[in-house]
Amino acid sequence: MRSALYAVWSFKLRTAFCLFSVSLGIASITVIVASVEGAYKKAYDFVEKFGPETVLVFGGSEEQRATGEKMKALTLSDIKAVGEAFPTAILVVPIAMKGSVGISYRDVKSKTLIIGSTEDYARSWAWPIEEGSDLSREDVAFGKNVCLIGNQVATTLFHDVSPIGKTIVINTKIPCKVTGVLVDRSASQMGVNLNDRIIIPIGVMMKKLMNDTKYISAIKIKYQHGRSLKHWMAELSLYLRNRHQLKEGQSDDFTIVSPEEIIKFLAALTGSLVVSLGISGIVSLVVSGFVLANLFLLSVKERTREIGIRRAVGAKKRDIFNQFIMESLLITSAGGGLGFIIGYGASKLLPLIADFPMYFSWKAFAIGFAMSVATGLVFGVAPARSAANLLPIEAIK
Amino acid sequence: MGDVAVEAIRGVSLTVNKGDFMAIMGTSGSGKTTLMNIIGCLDTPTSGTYILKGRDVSAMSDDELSVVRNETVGFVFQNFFLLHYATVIENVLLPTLYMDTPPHGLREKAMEILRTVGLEDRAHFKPRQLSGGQQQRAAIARALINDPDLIICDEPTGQLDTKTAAEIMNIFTALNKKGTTIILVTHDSNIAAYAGNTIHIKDGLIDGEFNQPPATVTIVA
Repeated sequence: MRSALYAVWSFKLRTAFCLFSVSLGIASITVIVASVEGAYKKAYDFVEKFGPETVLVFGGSEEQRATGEKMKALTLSDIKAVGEAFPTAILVVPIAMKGSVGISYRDVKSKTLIIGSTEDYARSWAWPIEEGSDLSREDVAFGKNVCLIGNQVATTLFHDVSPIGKTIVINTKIPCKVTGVLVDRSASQMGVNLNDRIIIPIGVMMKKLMNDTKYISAIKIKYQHGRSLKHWMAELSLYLRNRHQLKEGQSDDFTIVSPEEIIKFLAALTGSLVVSLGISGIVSLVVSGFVLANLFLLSVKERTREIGIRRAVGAKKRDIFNQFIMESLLITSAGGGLGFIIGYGASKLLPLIADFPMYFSWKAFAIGFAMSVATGLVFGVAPARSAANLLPIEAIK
Repeated sequence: MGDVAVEAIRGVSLTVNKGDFMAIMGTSGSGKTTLMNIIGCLDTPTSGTYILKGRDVSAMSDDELSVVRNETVGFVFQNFFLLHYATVIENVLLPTLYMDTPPHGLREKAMEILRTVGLEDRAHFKPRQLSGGQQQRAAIARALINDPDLIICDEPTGQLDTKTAAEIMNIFTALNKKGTTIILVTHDSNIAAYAGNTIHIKDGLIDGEFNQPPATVTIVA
């Protein structure tokens, strides 16, 4: 071990070369691991906001939703029925949506997403109020003209002025008094700015904006802690099919989305990125491995004399083999360490260019280190073996 | 040390006794290097036997030969063969890296040996900072660290001037006086003169008295 350290130090140039090539490979691996972890963390963060024990039910089957076809299937009476049928569903919140609706405050005009819901909307999304107060039960029950606004809306319409108590005009004819502002939610989530929205009581939404008193866009359900979400989803699905009188073989006229599916979706989204990064990382590591093996083979030739001397004073074949493997491991693990640092630096710079979540944990380090050690072992074997198999009499000529 | 018997090099036999100081002389290509390699357990004879301390070395595995080189034989080469990146004392301690159970106090022992070869103030120098004579002293110290029964010197003064060569040969003479068996390979008769007895190798055969078929070389040390 000590003599390996010595040799590594003595062949500085070669060592530096190997070290650098390994570190580049490890750097890219580190970036990959960090971005995978970052993506998953982002997905879990999203689920945290979505609510780990909640599901979202959309009207229309998955196929219909995919083709952009709007389907009216969920009704206000569904809400009531589901709430009564499932005591474990703590919150059953209706959601009616309309996008790109004109809004104005005095002479400032804008467009945003209007959501009709209940006093439970913010709670069901675990979305705190930053300023003012939530919609109240009475606001919803009596269909008062009040609203809860997203952070983006507050900034656009009011700049630095407090929006609480001010009246916004929606769709040029519906005046709504602002009761509260929702806290800022990381601006871009799957390309949607969550802060750009206004929440008004469901009754106001349906009567005055949608001219439809029956159908809603979605239902958000929050369950109690306890049994698995999958179980509840199956029950809910069965219940809704019965209620909508769907026959066997007929496809659902609704889609239930769970946090798990959102994670799957986000994972698939980052998957292609990870694959391309992964391939380049593996390639660079393999290339660095070959560089290492080559330089080591070269150095075995260069160090024939040394091998001969060691053999002459009693080194066995395996002593020589171990020495070269040890040197290889020393260089690659040092390269791994350096690579981790480079990777860390690179991933601090990467988010400046693109919106790219990065997250570092011991995992990134452990995987990088394990891969560098593996590189050292795999690519060190051939040179170490050729060193060990040198004939002593040839080596000391 | 018991009997060392080499039966090699076209079937010539030779015996070296314990405490002998024998010179093997011959021109290059005479076969003296092959003979030395076999005696030093760096090589094995294609046929014949070599008995070292009562053990048949010619039948040994590579690992066993390594142990013999480590424990029984000390080498001194013409070109010193020191590791240039290690210090003098680290070079001296090199054979101890390959001992099965290294004893305590090896550094002290190494310093003691360096003192006997007159290098105690150069222990932490790198070989390149030393003169040729000093490098050869370091190499001798390395050969002595494991208390070998046999020291094999291959042209140990080939790179040195006459005065330095004499100093080195005096070290060998002193070692031999203390009982170490020494085999000296050289083509220089002035150097061979330091040895107690000399054999001449020519075309793989020992010149003179042992040269009868079936020829054998036996060394008893």
